[in-house]
Amino acid sequence: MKDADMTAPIDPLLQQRLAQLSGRRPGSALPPPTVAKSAPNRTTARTLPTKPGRRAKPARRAKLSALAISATTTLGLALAFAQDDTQTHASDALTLATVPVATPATTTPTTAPAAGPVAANVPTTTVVAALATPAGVADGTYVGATDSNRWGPVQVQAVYSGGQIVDVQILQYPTADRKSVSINQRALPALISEALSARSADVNTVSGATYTSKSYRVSLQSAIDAARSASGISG
Amino acid sequence: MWYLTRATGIVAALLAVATLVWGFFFSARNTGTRLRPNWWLALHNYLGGLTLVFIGLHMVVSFIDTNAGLGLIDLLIPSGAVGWRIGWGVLAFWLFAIVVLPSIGRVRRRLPRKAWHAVHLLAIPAIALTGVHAYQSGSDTASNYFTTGLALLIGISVYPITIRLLGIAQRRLATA
Repeated sequence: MKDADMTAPIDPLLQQRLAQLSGRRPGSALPPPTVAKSAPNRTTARTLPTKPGRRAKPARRAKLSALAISATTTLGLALAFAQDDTQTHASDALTLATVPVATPATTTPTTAPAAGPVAANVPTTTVVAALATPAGVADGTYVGATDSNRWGPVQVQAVYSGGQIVDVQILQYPTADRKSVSINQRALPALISEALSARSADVNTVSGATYTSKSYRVSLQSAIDAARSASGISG
Repeated sequence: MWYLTRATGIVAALLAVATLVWGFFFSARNTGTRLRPNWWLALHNYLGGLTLVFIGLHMVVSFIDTNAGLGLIDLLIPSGAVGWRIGWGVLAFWLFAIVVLPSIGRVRRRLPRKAWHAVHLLAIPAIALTGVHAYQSGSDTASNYFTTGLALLIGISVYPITIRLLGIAQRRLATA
């Protein structure tokens, strides 16, 4: 009975070991050269059950945290940039509405639009469909204030005909270097097009031309305010 | 899209600096005893891969954004065609790719240690080029946040590099 209890298999490892020992009993033949083969199996059998997945993927939690933080930061920054841009729009409009512009916009009443000195190399947009603007704005070309940013000044003029904006022209834009010229030649047509679509100076920032976009909004808003003011429209 | 381009670029730069810092602390054996070396190494490798992923996102978003005016060639070949402010970023991307991709592809084990080390050190000029790219083309360079952040990142990067260099100097003095 005792012998039977002792040889009872407890786990596969023990069973394997007992089988090897039984092969070495006096009188029996030496164990076949399977020891070398069985050794790696024993090692594998021992390492596998201990905390599966722990060693295979170290720093798993830290990795997941890094991924989550990166994704959250990206989204947070994108939202913050968008919100900042919206606030800039609002503050620009507020400043122009409440405080007189330092460089007062000049009014050039004329029947023929697009008479102003348009900056070279910048294509102007010819409006196909006239846009609805506040009624009663006198026809003419209204020059906006110059807004200077770190790359240079930006100034636009708005052309009104039949009480509506029919064109927006660029009078000044940063041309100090080729890079600025290249950026603005790409950005300004997009800004003009967007302003005409939006029917206001509330245009989105063009990629890679954040400063020009901001200055464009300020100058165009100033031109629109000048047009309304010259036409006796308040508010 | 423009906001997303800026955000992915900033996060990629932060991840690159984090990878660098992790790597230098690890190589300087300055990681303490609380966590195992393989934990640090695994996280370092992962952060490197994540950096490349975010750089890829940054490039994809720039490509999709039609207002950015960047073509596939502009994003893959560093040149002055669209200005070197973009070119530095493209060059940094390739340097990061050279450093990170062999680790993923297990090429590292086939490379001699010295060659691997030389390749690995390319991460430092890559991060420097990233800084130049961010400064020259970034819309946020005039903001105080950007200036403060850049100064912090430079400080964070320089600290472990100094520790590592001091460690090398000490070992050389001890053996001399």
